[in-house]
Amino acid sequence: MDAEELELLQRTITRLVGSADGSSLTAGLDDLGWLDLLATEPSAGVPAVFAAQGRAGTWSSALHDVLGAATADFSIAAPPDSTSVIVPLPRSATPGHADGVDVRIEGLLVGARSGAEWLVAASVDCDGKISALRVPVRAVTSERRQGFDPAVDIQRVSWNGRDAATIAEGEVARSWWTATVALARRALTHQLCGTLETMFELARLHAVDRQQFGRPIGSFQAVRHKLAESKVALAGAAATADIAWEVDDEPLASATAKLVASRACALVVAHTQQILAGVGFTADHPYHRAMKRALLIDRLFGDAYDLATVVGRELVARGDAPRLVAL
Amino acid sequence: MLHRAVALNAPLIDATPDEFRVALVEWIDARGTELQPTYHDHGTTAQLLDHQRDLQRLLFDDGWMRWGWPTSVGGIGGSPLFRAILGEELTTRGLVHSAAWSMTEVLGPAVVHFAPALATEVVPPMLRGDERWCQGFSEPDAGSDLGSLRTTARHSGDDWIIDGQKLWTSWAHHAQRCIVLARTEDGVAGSRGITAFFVDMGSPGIDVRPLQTMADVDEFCEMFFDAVRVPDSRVIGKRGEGWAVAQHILACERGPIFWQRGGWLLRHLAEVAQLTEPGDARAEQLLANAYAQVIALRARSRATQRLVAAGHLRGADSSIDKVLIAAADQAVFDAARLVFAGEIELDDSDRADRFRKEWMYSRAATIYGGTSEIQRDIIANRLLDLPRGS
Repeated sequence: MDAEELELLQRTITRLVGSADGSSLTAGLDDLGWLDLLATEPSAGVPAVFAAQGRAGTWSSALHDVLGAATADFSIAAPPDSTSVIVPLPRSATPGHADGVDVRIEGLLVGARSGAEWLVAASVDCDGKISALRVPVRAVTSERRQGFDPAVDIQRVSWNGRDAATIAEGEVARSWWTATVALARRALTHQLCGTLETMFELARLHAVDRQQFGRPIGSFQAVRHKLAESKVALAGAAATADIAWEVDDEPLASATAKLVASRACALVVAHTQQILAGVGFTADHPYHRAMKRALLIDRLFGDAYDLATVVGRELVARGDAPRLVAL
Repeated sequence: MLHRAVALNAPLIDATPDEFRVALVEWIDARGTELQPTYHDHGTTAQLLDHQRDLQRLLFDDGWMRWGWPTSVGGIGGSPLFRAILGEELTTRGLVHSAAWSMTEVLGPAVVHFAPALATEVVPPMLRGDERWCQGFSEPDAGSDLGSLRTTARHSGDDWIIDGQKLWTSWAHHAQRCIVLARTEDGVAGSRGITAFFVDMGSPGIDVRPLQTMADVDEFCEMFFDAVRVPDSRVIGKRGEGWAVAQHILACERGPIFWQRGGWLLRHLAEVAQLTEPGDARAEQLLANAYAQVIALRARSRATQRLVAAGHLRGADSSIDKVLIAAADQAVFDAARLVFAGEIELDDSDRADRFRKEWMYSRAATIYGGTSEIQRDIIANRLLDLPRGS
């Protein structure tokens, strides 16, 4: 895809993602050929869709599709129209935990497509070995969670038993889950960056318009520097999100990209909320929706603390601080 | 076989950055310990600079130092990305000290741009390490507020007579040349009426006094100019164009220099990672958060390097790079200090000396080259369109 085609694609996606939400957005993306794009040109399609969803504050089944994307690469029998991959709970690396033959699965379905017959879960045993398990949807306990951001369809799922089908193990399972997590982190990083951009722009416009003491609050250095710091954090996060697609070391680059974005999230949330002050605290102003969305995305596949643990362990294990980015 | 081609003066200037890097690394590896500094602690200023001079001669004579510089100044042409890569490979291996290496990049491009005729004479010995340059900008009353500088130059015959005082001039006591900003017009203030001069440090009337930094390093100096004569031919750019020269220099600082500094930071972070016991949760957090900041800087800086290579210096946008690198610099050495837990404060080993001095130097990262507060003001005014502060 050349630069012109990419720009056209981004424009088309941005228009669609800004005009539909939920299942109608999923349908629109399907018409646009999103699944094909995900399979053939993820580095063009994923950033475009997720950044646009972040900016517009919408949600589709794109994350569900991203989670299923790696199954085909590893020949794991999990067709996307009949299978959903389970998102681990916060602070957990996999949804599944095996103790001998007993398996416990606890996780989330986030914006999943309807009609799935099977759920796939990565599971870790006592020795740290990963396998891919498949259980029928009808056997799983499922509960809708409203939480912070009820606009996103989140199901809390759990399953206990001994008869989950193992559909991959050993190196294949480990590589599949590593690739799945890395892709999900890259996608969510773009969405988080888009969401933070929207919050930032709301705060910036407020600082220009809102008058106190006879002048716009954006003329006060305390406010200007908060916005400038936010801009710097966003620029660093966006650049890191982009390079994560070009680096051979995808797991480290993806974890680092989401870590950078999560760090930016903490700073931008604090600064923009403070600048928007009273009006940003109201339900009428659109700010709170973006802020809650940002914190929801931040929570999935590792927040700043979890990801720093992941990245820090990797640096210590390697005894190195890889350059990642080359000229 | 690229390095042989370079040595034969038949450069392949259409080499890709990666081909250049691979050939350079081959050359570095072939020389082994010959290129390494002989000191194992931080090194004195004289040791750092002497080692760098020796290395620069080797690099120049074998061609590496000439890549990315125009042929008119002894270069062999090609993209400035080559210069960024050279710096990165040297700092990442600890073959040069990052701060000292910066001086090969800060001033040269501005002289090439604003004084092409003078550049043909003065840039080659600088590239070869035979001469060192320093930057006479700041003054006691003109730090962040550079437009308040008071050093004057008045025209007399074919010469200019410079009077005044400069401060925070790095390595002035080891430099043969200095780029001096002086006010050349009466009755104007701020950024107008300033001219840049290329001054021989051996000129009568220049007095240089090194200052000790808090790291106990004699890096920066105060300089006194007492009726120092500089010929017309040493004006950089046009009379009154000094502010543009200064802006160009500050923008250049954010090109290849930031790239090699990133390599230097990763080198130190890698050293800390090697010395960390697996399972040290506190160290993991510190290392990863510093690493994230360095990678964000590098991701951002790569786009800047590409713009510079395409001939577009970033303007206000480069303030973002400056704020990122300053924070990353401090985060890396803060992480080192906390992970080592007492070594920097209590030990006298070579490693403690190196990290202690680097930690202290990193305190200046948010100050030199325009404080982070000034950068935030530039971002607020020019990138965010916020109303100006009072």
